[in-house]
Amino acid sequence: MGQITANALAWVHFRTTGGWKRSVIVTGVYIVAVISLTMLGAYDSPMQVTRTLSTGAGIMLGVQALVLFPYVGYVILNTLQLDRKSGMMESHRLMPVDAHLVVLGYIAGGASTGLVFASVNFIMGGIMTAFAGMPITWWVAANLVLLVFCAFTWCAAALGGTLGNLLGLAMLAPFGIIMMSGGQVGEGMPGLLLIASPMLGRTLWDATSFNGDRLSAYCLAFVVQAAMATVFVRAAARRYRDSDATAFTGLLGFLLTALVSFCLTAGMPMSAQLTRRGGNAGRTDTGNYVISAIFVILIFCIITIYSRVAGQAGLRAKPKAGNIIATDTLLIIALLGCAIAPCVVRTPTPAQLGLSALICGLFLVAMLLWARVCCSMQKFGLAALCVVAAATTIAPLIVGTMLRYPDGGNSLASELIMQVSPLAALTAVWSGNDFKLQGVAVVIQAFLLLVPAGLLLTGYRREQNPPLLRAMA
Amino acid sequence: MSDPLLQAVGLTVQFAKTMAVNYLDMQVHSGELIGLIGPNGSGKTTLLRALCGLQRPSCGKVLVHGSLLENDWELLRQIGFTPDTPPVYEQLSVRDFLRFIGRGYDLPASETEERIDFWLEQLWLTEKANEPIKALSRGMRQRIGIARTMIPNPSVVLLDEPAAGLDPAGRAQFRQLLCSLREQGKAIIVSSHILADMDQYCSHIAIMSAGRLIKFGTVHVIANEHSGERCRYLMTLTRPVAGLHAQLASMDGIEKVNVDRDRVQLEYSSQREDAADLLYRLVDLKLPISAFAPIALDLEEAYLRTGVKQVD
Repeated sequence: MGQITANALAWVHFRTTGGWKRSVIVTGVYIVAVISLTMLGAYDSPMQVTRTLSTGAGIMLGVQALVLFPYVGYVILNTLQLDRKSGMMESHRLMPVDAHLVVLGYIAGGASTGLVFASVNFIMGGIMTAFAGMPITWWVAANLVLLVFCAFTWCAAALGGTLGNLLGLAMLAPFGIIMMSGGQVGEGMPGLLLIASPMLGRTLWDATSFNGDRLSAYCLAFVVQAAMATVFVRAAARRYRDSDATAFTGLLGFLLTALVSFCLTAGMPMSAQLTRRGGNAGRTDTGNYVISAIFVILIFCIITIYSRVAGQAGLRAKPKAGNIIATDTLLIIALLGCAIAPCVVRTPTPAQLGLSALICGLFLVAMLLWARVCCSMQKFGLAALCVVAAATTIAPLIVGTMLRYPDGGNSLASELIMQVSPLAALTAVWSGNDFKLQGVAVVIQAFLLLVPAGLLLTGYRREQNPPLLRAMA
Repeated sequence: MSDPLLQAVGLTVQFAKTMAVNYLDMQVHSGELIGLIGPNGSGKTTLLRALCGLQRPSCGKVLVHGSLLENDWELLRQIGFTPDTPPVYEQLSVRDFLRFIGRGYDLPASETEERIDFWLEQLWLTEKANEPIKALSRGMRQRIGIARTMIPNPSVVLLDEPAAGLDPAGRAQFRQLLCSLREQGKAIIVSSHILADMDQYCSHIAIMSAGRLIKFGTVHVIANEHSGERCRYLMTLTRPVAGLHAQLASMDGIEKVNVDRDRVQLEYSSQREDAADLLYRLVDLKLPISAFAPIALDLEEAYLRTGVKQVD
């Protein structure tokens, strides 16, 4: 902790974002405004002072959330991006400071002015809550949940800041969407609410949400957020130290995927605690949770595969072909475990589980081969398009499934198979369903898997030294 | 000779199909000041960035004090690098910015203040110490960039176009500063296009083209490399002579005639006997010659004679 507060980067960014002078002025003006408005409210309706105070406490919690999440998140993101563009980050790289401490310095420095404000707001809100006769535990717990969540998003912002404008915003956007929808977006994937903890249960704004029955969910949320934040800081440190490096290594990508998988899987049985409507999820609900969870996890799998392949292409000492294949196999198996983990919730038969594993596995292998082909052409951006390719091949199947099974009443195997991969069509053909759509899907899947494999085996663009071929040579 | 402070072994930096630095070997010893010259795009900046660890080499290695830079970040204390446009925090004052640098290098506060005062004075920035950087000119920022590099007292100093934004007085002062750093035993590499300055403070010259080091040697050796057979002469006349250019150009052995009113430059054999013969012939033409002397080749001339392309 001392290393963070004594951090040169934290010091300089506290200064550049205004320092004590701006903090004192802004906070002072805010205190005067809050006191004035509260007194005005009490004067206007003296019989409803308690109500005025409780409303005020709710508004102050909203202000707290606005300051700590979008404002501080943006400051951190913007600070890193400005330093990256101006070359200041390179100047810092010449300093003998551990990259992780630099990233933590950026976070602490960017958050410092916001934290000064939030501290004062916390004290004032606490006083207002007490005078309103509301449980002070609510105010403290709500602020704690908010602070832990925001600290986690700051780490995501720090990673985003090292990546680029659009990717940086993309890192924060999902949390913003969940927050703005009041947690409704998370209804389809209850596990997501573990990550976006302020919207967990009846959300942060509802005092009854902190009556103790969601303690286990909050504890789990804190653990997951801490673990994911660690991965983000590690990835940001990699990008800080070497701007050409991919943010994630294969291992870091896998850890992130595993955490997402864990979250989404663990969230399903806890959906009553996590979602706003509460109650027990029906079989159809759980089926949809499984499908959407697998979809999200597969996206993370693809990011992991891309990171591994692109990172390997940039390595100075190329690994041997045997090592590449062995490590790729291990990675695919590990990712496969993450991808099919949500299936376990619906206790499928071994045959169903095996089929899902086969389909997800083939899909991941196809993505790996595509990523290798693209990286061998030095087209790293194109390799990222694998994600798009995945999405576009999955999308028709999702639409097709929705058209065919509007009531969602088919078996788990069908749901999984049809939505996870175009290869699903093979099974559908066997079962005698819609032949046209399935035929298209088979072609797409064959393209995904066979073309890159063929290109790699025949030495596509050999003159540009494809990593795998070079290693094999 | 002592061990090199900075060594590049087979250093290669490749961007897609472009070889920015192509298998380059280089050593810089204590007290050496190498002037790095070459056309735009020849790889000078990339080389400097690779030497200080900002650019990951595609292959090869960089050794600082005999150790691999990538294995020990404490070695970064020994390397200072000033890019052509030094980045600064514009909101801060000059002194605060340099304090931040001192903190970044974990220097004690009192020592940081001492060093800041010393370098502000060396770079004529003392009066601007408490002014916000955003109010300063480009040249001033260039000086702040140099102060930033020197605050941690590195033994290896890499400067990319350091004099580009400096005024004439600043350039003269900068030359003195570099000579003083050389005397302190630092190993210095300066990339610059101002060749007239470089032959005054550099001990060695390295000429780069297309990522390769095509010439490397002392200033004297590089400047006189092409002066073996030919030499430039300066002839001063008491008054301008009409049709002189055509007259001289038609004479045997004379090349590259340049007539500027009463001053004439021409290229001829460097042999003393030949020069005497030429003077005899010129006098025979009844030219009003008041002076005739060979011109020592300067660095700019030597560079142009290497035949490197203007843009790589």
